[in-house]
Amino acid sequence: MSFLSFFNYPIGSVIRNKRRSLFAIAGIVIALSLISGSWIAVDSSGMGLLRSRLDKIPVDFVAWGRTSPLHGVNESYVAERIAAIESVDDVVDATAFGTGSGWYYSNSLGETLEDDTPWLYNYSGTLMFLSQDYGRFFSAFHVDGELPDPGTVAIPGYVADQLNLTVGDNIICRIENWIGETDPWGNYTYTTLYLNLSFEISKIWTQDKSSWSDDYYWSYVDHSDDPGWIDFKSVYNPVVFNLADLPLVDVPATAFMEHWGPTVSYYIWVDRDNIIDLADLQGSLDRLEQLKIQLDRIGMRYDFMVNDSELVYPLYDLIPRMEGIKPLFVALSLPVVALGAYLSIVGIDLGISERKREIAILKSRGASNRQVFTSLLTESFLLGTFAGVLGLVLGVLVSRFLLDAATIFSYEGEGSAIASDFMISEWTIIYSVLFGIALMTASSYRPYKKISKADVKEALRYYSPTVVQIDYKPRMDIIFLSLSIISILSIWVGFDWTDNLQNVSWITRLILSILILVGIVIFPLMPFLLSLSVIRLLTRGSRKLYSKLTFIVRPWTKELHYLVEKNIVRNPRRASNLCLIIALSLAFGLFISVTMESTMRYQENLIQFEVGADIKTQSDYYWGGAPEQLNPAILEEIGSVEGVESHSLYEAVRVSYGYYGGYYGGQTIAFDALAYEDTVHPDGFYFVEGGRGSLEDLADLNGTVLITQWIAEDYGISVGDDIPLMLDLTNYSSGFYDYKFVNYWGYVIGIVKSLPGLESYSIYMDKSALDFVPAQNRTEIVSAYGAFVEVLDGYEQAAVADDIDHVFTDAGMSPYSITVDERMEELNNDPAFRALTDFLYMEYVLSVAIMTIGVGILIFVAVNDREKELASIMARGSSAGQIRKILMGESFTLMVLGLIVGASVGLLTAYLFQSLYAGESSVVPREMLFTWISAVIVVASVGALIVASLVATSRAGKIKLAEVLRIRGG
Amino acid sequence: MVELGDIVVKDIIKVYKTGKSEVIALRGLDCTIGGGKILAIMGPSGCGKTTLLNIIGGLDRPTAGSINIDGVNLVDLSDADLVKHRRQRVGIVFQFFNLVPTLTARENIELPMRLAGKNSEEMTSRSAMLLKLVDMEPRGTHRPDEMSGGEQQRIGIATALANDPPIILADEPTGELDTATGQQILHLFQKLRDDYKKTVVIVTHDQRIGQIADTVMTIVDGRITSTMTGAEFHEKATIPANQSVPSPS
Ligand SMILES: Nc1ncnc2c1ncn2[C@@H]1O[C@H](COP(=O)(O)OP(=O)(O)OP(=O)(O)O)[C@@H](O)[C@H]1O
Ligand SMILES: [Mg+2]
Repeated sequence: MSFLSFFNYPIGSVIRNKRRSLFAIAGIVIALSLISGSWIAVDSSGMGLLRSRLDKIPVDFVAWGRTSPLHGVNESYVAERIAAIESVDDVVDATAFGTGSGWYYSNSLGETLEDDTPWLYNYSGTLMFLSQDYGRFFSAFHVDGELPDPGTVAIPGYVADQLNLTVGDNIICRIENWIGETDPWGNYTYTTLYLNLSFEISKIWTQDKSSWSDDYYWSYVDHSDDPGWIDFKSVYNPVVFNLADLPLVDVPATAFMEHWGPTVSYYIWVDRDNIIDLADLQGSLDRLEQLKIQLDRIGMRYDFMVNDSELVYPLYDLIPRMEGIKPLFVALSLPVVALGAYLSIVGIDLGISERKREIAILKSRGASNRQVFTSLLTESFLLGTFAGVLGLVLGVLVSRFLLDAATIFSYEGEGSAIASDFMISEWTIIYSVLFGIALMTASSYRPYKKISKADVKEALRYYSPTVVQIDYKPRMDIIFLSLSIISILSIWVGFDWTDNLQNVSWITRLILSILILVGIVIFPLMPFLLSLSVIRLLTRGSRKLYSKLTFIVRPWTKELHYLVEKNIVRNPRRASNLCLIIALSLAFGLFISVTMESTMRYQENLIQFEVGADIKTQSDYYWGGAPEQLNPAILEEIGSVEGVESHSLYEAVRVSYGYYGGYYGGQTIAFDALAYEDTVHPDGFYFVEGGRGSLEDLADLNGTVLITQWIAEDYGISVGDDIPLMLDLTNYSSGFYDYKFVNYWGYVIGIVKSLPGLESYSIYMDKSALDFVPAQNRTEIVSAYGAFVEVLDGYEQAAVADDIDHVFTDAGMSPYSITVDERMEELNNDPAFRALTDFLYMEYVLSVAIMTIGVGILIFVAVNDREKELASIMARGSSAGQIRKILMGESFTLMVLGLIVGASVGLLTAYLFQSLYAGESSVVPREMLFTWISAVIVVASVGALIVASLVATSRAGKIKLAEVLRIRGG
Repeated sequence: MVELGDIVVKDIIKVYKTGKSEVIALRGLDCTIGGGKILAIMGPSGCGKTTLLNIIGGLDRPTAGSINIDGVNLVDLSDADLVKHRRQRVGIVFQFFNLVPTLTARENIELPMRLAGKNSEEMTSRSAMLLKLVDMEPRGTHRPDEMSGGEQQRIGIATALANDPPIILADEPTGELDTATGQQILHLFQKLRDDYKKTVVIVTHDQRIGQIADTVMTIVDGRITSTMTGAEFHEKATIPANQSVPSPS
């Protein structure tokens, strides 16, 4: 058998049976489109990001003279070196300049920059001597300006503004030197000497940094407060000379200060298009490294050394982030991959009966089992390749929707992917095809193995229209079901349950713990196992049950109902496949919608909990401050700030739980309990004992406290106990701490989980409880002042917060405000969360697509297989409508079963998932939400199913009776 | 002379188009099938027998020509009326029985009645009667795969009779059966004509048809080449009556 003829059969079979091939790969193609789509999105947005970052980098290599200082540098010295540098392949341009630092600028009035320069590094300025062969210097650095006239200087616009200088004026550059000596007693005395050099200004430079101003790695300067400096990466705000004019400075400066002298530097630009391949970051890095080596070699001869390329960092930084996120997307795609692979298994299974005859014929002509199997596997291989390519094509489409998601790995403020960026890397292609082949082979291995062993006589006789009798062994399903139940129970009861078991031997406890561990480990598989086993047991274990379930379509199928009832049990395998595909897809959709929505709500609850009311403003003084200057009484004015509906003040006081006289943590809040209740409206959920009413008790009964659950549990305190409290009256602001403590007792009237807005505290008391502290000591015991504010409708929280900040400032405090609105916005804009949501919903859309196609295929095949039977029923007087009714009646029943199982499994999984978190998440209520999104998902699933089955059954009406019933060759 | 119950076929042409090529299955076929008679159609494979039968049965439409049954031209009927025609006026018996495998014999017989919306008492009594007619009373609850070919064909005939149509169309009803069983089935058709006054059209290769047919019509290449009485055909048939001609399939 030659190689070609070996491939002949599988190729022919793949191409001729287009429908069969399509059925087999449909699911895998869709699953792959999500994976390759997400990868394309990652690559594309990564490319966009990288491009925008590289655009911000003005120069590719920087080189430094080895000898420094170096006097007498001139144009011919640098020209020789620039030529040598430019002789390196891929170097397109280079320029050289000398720099001398340590100079101060002033105008003729003696005004300097120093005082108002906020940035330390610019304390003194740098003189720069630029070669006339400046290459792309101006364009690369976006400098608007040109070389100064000979003997004159160019200065930055900023310097000109600050010193009121303009073209034609003189700038004075000053350098300092100290002359001193150490006397015999070791005292050093010195005098400061100044050298002032005055130069005429012929040019004023400005720089447009808008395209790279927010870049974080390029420059040390925080350009967000940029007053208009000029920035050449290593040189800031230089006064620029022609290189030829170096002696104008070099000579007097060296005479003044022996060790002064310029350094030579080189800017080198390379052919980026040639070196940087966005699809091959590592290769790009390697090429940059090679280039550096070559440049260094030249530097050996010409006395300079080369830094790592400026381009390296962004490349280097992106690789792990891009490579790291891809497996994450693959992992997140697993549900749809499983569903897709399952659909392919179903698709392959549908072609099997047809296949059997074909193979029997092959075998009767002498093919061996192995030849058949190999040829079938070759077919899978071809189909897998094809699936990979198709998935890639679809992935391009999917990637457009996911670009947002891919911004996960961009830093804040860096800008995100540009929609026009588009890149498929070769790895995406390779992996897509490999995944396709792997999935296809995995899905088809078993069925193909089986039919390649099939007995020839048996297979040739095989004819399918009667009831398919496949013996079904429920053992696996019972195991799956048990595992699912163990998993559900494990999540339900959790680990602590075993700890609470008394009177059982350690063996029992060990076994229970292991069971629970197993249950938790298989939880991710639980939805699949549960759906699979329940559906198979329902549809294949007992035919009675779902044949009974047909009652739901009875009002509609009426006189033909018995046909539906009988037919539905006809092919249990197909029935269970149909149900399972529906169930899995719906379960997945409901799970993600409920989980995402609930998580969102939980995040919102967290924010509400963190802020307390609409606004929380606080000013901290824990380590001192100046209590004398604080005037807390002014805070009462908050009530009269415009837009404030209600407010409540609190003070964090230095009172702690003083057990055994030691200092035992537990931060205390003293607040106006009634105002707090009014402003914050804490949910009853937070009150473990004593209820919400304990806030009123706190205000009414002097000496009472509320404590948090953890303190109660850690120290074994319950309601009604007196607890020792320790008040720290030490004045920390005085410098010499005079420790002063007062011990007293508090009466516990309630236990709370925590109180909204006051999470970091654990003991709560009414303000009045500290009335015993002498007025002059009040501010000394407070470590933070704060306020909760409820804002009137129609007012901007941020604006009101500003006003409240002012009240705090008036009181001598330095406040910090957070508002619910602002936090919510942050939450909603959180790229990671949004991206994840986008991705998961996209995945759901694809799983609906798989479901729809799966259901369509299954019904289609069911119609196809029974074409003859349907035609004979029609010949006996049935209308096309009646046939459709029968078919729809059958599929509808199965759909309902699938939907019920799917919805239950989805909601159950979401619920368990929630409780998995609820167990550890402490204070904030976590509720399970069924929002309109979830409702839409159910409706969308049902809609897709109805459309799929209508389309698939519409064939029934188009059956050509004479043709179908014709006895061929009869 | 056309009588009530006659099927008058005029100038029927049937052209099948498959891609570019055309097959002319019937080339202007004329005949009158007498009501309450048995007409046997014979002829070589591919001559157009099944095509003719399908057109009469309302399973297919002719390319040209007309089929008149009691003043109704089938060609003029809408699809919905054709469904009614199949439901009420004709009963079809298939070579391969074509029973619904999930239904019992009785349920198969009742199916056309259900499709026609008959009430259940009527269905029960009629299916019992038909089971008796085809001599299958004890097998009413059996499914097709539990019956022999001959038995299945009896149920097939009973099914065809379900809505008491005046016309029975049978396409090689004995093709799948052995000689003796085939003989029984042929007798059943005889009974339908004699006792129930049905018009029966049988396509067959079985030479014994001459024993029961009133008319034997031979078609070659889409045209009628001969028409003779059953008796004439019986005499001409050289093969002994107890030996059937194997079906060319
Ligand atoms: N759907 C179709 N498309 C194309 N040609 C067809 C079709 N149905 C029948 N034919 C052709 O029409 C001709 C008549 O077919 P028909 O089935 O009526 O023959 P027949 O007499 O019943 O033959 P047999 O004894 O083998 O059953 C044949 O040549 C057949 O190939
Ligand atoms: Mg025929």
